Amino acid sequence: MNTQNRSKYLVPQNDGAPSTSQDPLAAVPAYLSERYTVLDRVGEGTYGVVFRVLTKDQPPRMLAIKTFKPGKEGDGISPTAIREIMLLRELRHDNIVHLEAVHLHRPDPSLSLAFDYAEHDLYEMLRFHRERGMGPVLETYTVKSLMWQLLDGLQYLHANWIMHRDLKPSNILVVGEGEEQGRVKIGDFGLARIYACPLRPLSDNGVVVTIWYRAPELLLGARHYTPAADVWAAGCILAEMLALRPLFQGNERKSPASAFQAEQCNKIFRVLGLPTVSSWPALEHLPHWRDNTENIRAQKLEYPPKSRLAEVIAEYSALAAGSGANPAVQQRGALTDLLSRMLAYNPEDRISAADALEHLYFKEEPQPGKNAFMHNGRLLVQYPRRCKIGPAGATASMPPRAPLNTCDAPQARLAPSRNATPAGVLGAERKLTPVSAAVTTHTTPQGLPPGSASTRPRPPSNKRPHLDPWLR
Amino acid sequence: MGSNFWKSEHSNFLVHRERLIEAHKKDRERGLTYDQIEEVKVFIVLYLEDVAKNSQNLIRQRVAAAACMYFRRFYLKEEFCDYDPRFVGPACLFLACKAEESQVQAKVLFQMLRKVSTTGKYHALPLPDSAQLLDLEMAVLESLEFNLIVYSPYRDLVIFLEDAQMTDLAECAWAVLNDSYRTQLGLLHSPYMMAIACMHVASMVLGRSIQKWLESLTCDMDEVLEIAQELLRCFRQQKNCMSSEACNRYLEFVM
Repeated sequence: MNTQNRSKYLVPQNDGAPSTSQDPLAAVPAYLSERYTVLDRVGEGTYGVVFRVLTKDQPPRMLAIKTFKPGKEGDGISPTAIREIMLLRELRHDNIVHLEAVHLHRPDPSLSLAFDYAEHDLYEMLRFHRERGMGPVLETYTVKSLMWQLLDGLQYLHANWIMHRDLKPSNILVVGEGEEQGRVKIGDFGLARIYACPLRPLSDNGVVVTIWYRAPELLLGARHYTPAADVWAAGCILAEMLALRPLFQGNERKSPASAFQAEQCNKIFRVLGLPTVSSWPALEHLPHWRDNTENIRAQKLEYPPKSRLAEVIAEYSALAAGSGANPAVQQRGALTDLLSRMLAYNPEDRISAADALEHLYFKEEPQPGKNAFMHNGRLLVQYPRRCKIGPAGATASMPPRAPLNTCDAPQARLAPSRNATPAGVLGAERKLTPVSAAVTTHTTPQGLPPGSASTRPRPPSNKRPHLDPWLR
Repeated sequence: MGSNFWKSEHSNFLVHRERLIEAHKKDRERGLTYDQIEEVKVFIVLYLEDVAKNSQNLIRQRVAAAACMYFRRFYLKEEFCDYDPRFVGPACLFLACKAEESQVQAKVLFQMLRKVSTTGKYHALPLPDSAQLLDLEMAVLESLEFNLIVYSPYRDLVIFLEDAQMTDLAECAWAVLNDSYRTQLGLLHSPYMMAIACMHVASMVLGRSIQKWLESLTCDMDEVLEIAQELLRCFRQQKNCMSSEACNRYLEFVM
């Protein structure tokens, strides 16, 4: 298409001089501020910026808008954004973040995704408890409900052949006040992918999962991995809710991108003991184990002969609770059994998300609920809001908040692989170019209404062959 | 979605034949016939397939197949006179590479395009420049309403061949399926019906009977036969694919 043929999308160019002020809203693209009342900036990461906005509907609804930074020069839309759109476009589950709209701005290429707003995330919630000092920890009911919902979202993803690959507390969103109060929403699908019939080994995507939540098979260099890696991360998150600190908190080697993370392995081995080929036969074939990288196979003094997981959890959670008892670990038996199954070394032995939902832990009282904050009509805890909400329509600048993915927690990233371009690894410090005012070409992801004339409604019918070809 | 076609957005992209007749209104007003429009599309689809074949496996067949689906879906709504198919094709390929987790850098894609279009039957095809490619990538994404997941009949074909214990048909059926992307059938029929029809065609070509297996299915046999006949008709017609000069001439008509 020639540029002259663009009439359909031709937009009046605004003189929009770049603003030099420190106003955190200065970088709001005009195509967003025309459509929404932008309240403030609630997050910033390698991918771009997150704004909190109100729709101009009556009554207004609150959304979080993730604006992607321009991808690597000359390579178009970042693959991170593509993954997130194409997957969330089709996923529908109570515990998966809902993609409300996609805004594509062609003249000055920019892409924004609008999500239902979630007031809290587990990272901030845990920080809240930690900073309140010794004593108040998460209630058993809250821990159970959050975990149950997280696993429910996860089993839905896995049933649909999708791996999240970046589960960590800051990606576990929880809805604040309103109809869906206390509801977990798994967010950030920038690393997620369909794993049925991959065209290339999954490892070609480079390093996945933030280091503290990275499963041992990934740390040891597996080229093929399974959804069990997500379950490992969920197990680490369960432990962290009890302990208020990451269970395996290794220091990350930043370079090279594919560096062997010996310290992270060490942190795991100190708790679970050294893995053995007898309990994990595939271990022999994992590159770093096979090659004994940095003498990783050596039994060290600090490694217990058998798993100390139960003791470590008891110890950490007692510390978190200070002098008081930690109610969340009182049902020791079922809890530590579930944890040890989620943190099984052998991915084939690791419990699946679907089976974990059936675990005794979730059958014992108190049983998990849909509202993790409210039990038997009692509000258990009031977490602080992400931002103070100004008067309706306010655009007053708020102090920039800590980024969603704060810098004290390591990041998962896609390391450059042989052929792929790591468009997700742009430096966070790169400033967004101010976007001049323009008409956005806007499309809702809902697309055509169901039953619209152009679609051919073809429900599952007796036309299907006797065997279900979709069960892969 | 990964597991259920009927719950996916792909199933919403299946259209009635009437929709194909309504498409390209402006192009037809400017003088192109349905057959000429289809000839151009087939030419571009072949072009994309050949780019993939010459990519040293950087772009696999399945990615090219997804690109062809994007290309055909795009022109359900859009017109040649607004969007040059010679440029839209490569943009579809670029996008499909990302969606199928086989990303290639734009500069690498350009090398591939140049390799294929400097000689042979694509020699006269113009290439988009970098800005056009990236702009069209967004245009395609937008026109497809961000639906990028394409169910591939290849997986179904493998399952069916095993179920029917007819793995000797595999090579032929696979080739028929590859060639089916030169037709519009993928817009009209679900992936598993395409796979069954390709097996049917392969059995006819090789003189094997799969009647018994077909009867064991509870699928609509009329639809299978309809697809099979259309496939055979298209293959007969397309023995002689157009030249790149002819393609350019047709498009000059509407630009």
